Amino acid sequence: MDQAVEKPLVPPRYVGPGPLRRTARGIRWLAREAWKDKVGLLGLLVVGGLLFVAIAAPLVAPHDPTAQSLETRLMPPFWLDGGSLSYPLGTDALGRDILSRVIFGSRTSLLIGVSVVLVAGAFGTLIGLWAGYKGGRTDSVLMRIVDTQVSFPGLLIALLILAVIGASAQTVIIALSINGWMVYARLVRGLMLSLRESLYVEAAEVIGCKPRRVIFRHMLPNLSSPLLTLGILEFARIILAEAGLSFLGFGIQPPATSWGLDVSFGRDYMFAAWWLVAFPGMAISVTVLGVNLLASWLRIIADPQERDKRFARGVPGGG
Amino acid sequence: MTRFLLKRLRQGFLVVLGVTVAVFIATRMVGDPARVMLPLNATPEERTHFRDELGLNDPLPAQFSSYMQGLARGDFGESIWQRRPAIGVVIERIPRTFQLVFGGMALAVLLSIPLGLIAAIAAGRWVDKLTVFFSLLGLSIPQFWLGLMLIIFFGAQLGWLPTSGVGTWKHMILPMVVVALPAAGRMAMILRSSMIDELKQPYVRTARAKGLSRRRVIGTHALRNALTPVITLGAWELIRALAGYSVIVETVFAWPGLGYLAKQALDQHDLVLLQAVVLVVAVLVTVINVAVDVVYRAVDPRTRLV
Repeated sequence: MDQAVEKPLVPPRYVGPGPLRRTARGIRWLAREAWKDKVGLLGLLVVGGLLFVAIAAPLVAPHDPTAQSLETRLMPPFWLDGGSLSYPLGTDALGRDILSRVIFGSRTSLLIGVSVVLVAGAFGTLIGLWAGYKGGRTDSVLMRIVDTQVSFPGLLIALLILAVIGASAQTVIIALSINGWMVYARLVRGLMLSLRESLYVEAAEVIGCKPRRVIFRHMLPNLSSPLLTLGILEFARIILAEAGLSFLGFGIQPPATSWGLDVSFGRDYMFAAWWLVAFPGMAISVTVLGVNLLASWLRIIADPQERDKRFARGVPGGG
Repeated sequence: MTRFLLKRLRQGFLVVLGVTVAVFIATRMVGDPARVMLPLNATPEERTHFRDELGLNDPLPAQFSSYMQGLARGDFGESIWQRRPAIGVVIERIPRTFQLVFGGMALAVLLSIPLGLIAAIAAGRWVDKLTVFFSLLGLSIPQFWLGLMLIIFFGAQLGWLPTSGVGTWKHMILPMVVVALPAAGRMAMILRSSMIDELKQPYVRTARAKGLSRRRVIGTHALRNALTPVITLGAWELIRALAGYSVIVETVFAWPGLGYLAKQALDQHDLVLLQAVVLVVAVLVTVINVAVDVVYRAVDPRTRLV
């Protein structure tokens, strides 16, 4: 402690590169990493493509996704007999363009996915921060609630809630958030327990920071990387869950579009017109695969141990 | 062991109690069963009569106590769709769901162990990359879509397999594959990761150095240790399939189990039956959870320390 007294109480502030340059540097580093790992690049491209298509849907889509026409019912994709290039992926039973519906469907997946990750993530993180920082009684009560709810039959309860309050985009977001906050709480609480022991937290407390400042200013930023990876993985899971609920008829309701809803429309015609089912489902699969690839790549570049596994060659001792 | 079992049973009881309360809140406080269950053109008199019959006009605490008392007696109410006690309808469907879920998980284990093993041994090479890619693909494809595509291809185009329902062993193939695939993808990834860790351990080197064959070291020594996380995940997958995915898979294949019953109850606006399905599934999940923990403790001595 004697030495500390000699030093100035307020250390000279380190002035690093400005925010713009830091961002530019970060992007360049990410691009380099992505180029090295082509699988990660693929994930990045798929997610980028999804964002672009969802935002620019009215510009990219050749037709109005809800425009019906009796003359163009059940047209096959353009490479089959009777297909036409003006409806590249064919039309459904009401004569609506499938490509346009797939393009507009991306908006639903994105909207529901992002909303649920934000709502469930914010709530779960708050609970996790509270439990992990307080410890003791608070922690054990909160974690008991988390453990109990993790064992719930989640999808069935979501269906029950949706049946009772009526299905729509908002209620799907509510039902899936109720089901999904526990994973964030568990992750954050676990990380908080180990951060709690670290010197900088102790230092912050010793110089008199209030709990709120310690939690949000000092500890939360250190959780951002695992939270981001979990959020992306959950995003993939939510897209699948929304598609499943819409397929069962308790998710997005017509006239809104959703990939899961389109698959369930196509089910009645699937033996005569396979393309009604095939293309929306393919859109779901490619999107979810892209998001999963992105998440596993992010984990690899953020964690040296995982990186080691990715590029591991040969088996030591396996000769 | 007895103390451990009692503790786990207490936790399991809490889960079931939690689900019961959640179901009560969802059906009586958030929503209005009379609005959901009666047809749109029901007269106000019919609605009042219906509410009286189900006791929906009583104050909430009274409703809650009669609801809990009914459940304690094993009285889940009468199914509006089937006109008989809901619990009987639910119990009839359990064996079919078990057949599907346990069969599917067995298939997932059979698929994932060789895949994960091959990927770990060839880590970094193209075989590994291909396996990882296909595992990720397997867990990214929505199950209802996979089911429909398999029906279109194997059922309709090739005509090899029946497209829905139950009967012969052939009816089981497609639903089981659909239940198994995402789980197999996740389990193969976990096995790959834990196997790579195990193969780095000194005991593997020792075993090789004392002259054991590579096959023996990987297949017996390392695999046994690497399987622990796979078993944990497998139990989790089993529970998830039972508690959720069965609704989707059974609906696609018209497989007469609990999940399809839930979908039918939803379509018939039969909240009493749906509530019974949810509660029975919660009990089944809890029983499986406790059973898994007990087995785990018997198999892995390290867990007894906690």
